[in-house]
Amino acid sequence: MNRKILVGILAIGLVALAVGWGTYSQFSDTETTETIFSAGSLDLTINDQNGQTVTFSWTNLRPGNQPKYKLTLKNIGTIRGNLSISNIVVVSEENGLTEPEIEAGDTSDDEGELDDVLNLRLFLDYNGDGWISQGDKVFFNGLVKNLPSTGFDLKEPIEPNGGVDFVVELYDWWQHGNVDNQAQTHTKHNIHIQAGSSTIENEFNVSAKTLQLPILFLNFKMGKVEG
Amino acid sequence: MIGPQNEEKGEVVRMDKKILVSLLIVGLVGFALGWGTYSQFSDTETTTTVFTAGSLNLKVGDDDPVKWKIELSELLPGCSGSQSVTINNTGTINGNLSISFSDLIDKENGLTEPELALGDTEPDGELAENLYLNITIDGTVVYQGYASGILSGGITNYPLNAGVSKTFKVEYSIDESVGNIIQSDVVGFTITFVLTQA
Repeated sequence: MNRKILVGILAIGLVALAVGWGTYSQFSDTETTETIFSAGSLDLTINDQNGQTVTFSWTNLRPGNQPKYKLTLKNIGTIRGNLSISNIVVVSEENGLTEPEIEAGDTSDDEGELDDVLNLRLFLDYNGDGWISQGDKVFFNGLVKNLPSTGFDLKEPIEPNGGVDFVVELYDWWQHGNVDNQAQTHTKHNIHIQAGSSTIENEFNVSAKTLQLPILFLNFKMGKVEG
Repeated sequence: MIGPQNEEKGEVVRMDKKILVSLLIVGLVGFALGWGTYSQFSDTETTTTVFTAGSLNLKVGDDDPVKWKIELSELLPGCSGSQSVTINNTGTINGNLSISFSDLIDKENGLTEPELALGDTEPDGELAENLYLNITIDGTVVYQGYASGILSGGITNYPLNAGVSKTFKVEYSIDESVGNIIQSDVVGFTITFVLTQA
């Protein structure tokens, strides 16, 4: 008799457990949601080139000509960037003495004279005509040797997929007589644009690129727009 | 011998019959009385019993099932912000909430030139170890730390009574000093909310 009762109680217990378990399963509700965090990017190109070294040449600069070079700077990233020239290094090298240089009294083989005679204009060319026009932003207009080494904050926002033309123009290079001749061999230099990997700083800068003239390094950078 | 015996028997049979008939009559009368009594003294009460099960329903945000999600793009060093959603037990019985995280992804999502310059490589991104999260429900911490450790986070048995709402909040920030290494990287994970009856 006791055994029958125990078996009965056990059976009831199992049924109750099954019912309870079923109830537990039914009274719950689950909601699932997704999260995606994506970082933006800033990436500066010069003339649509984005390698470690970007090169173009400009040969045989000579007194009397007014060469200019137009750079197209683009933001191929996904966030708005602020373009600036982070630093400027003026390098004046002799690159060997020519006979006219020696005759002109240039005896220094380690120091060039081009920066003393070369005028430079740096401007943002909004209408793309290659000349300083109404509305263009001029950042520098003077002798190369007076360029500020700290560079310029161009305060130029560039939207994603946007771009701006930057013109480097040499001018007024014909009225210095012997000094022009002293600067002679520099005309045989090429002009390079190089990537300046050393200037990538700890912010969302874009690969600062260096515009390298015979005597000049312009280091472009694009950083995030503050605020 | 047979006759008297039959006669005797006949007497007995007749007596039995009388008794049976009497009983039958008494029974019929009783039955009739009973029927009448039963009919007259009956009373019927009808009641309706409805068994209604309690309900337990979890609502995250304005839609059920949930449509709320976090989708943030163009994050950059120095950025921060937060996203919130209301967690509501819209059922009739009290519940316990648990929140868990799964399916962490940390993708490089292509290398930009500035990332390449830093020697970054596919396929693992660097955003997860630089994305700081502070996830709370009504001020109680669910997870605090970088997204790379999110799978260790979560909370269980958080009381959520019937009709009660709580605010689930995800605060995020990226350190200013992180730099280009996180460019275009993507981090994602799944948040699961489970409400069970208390």
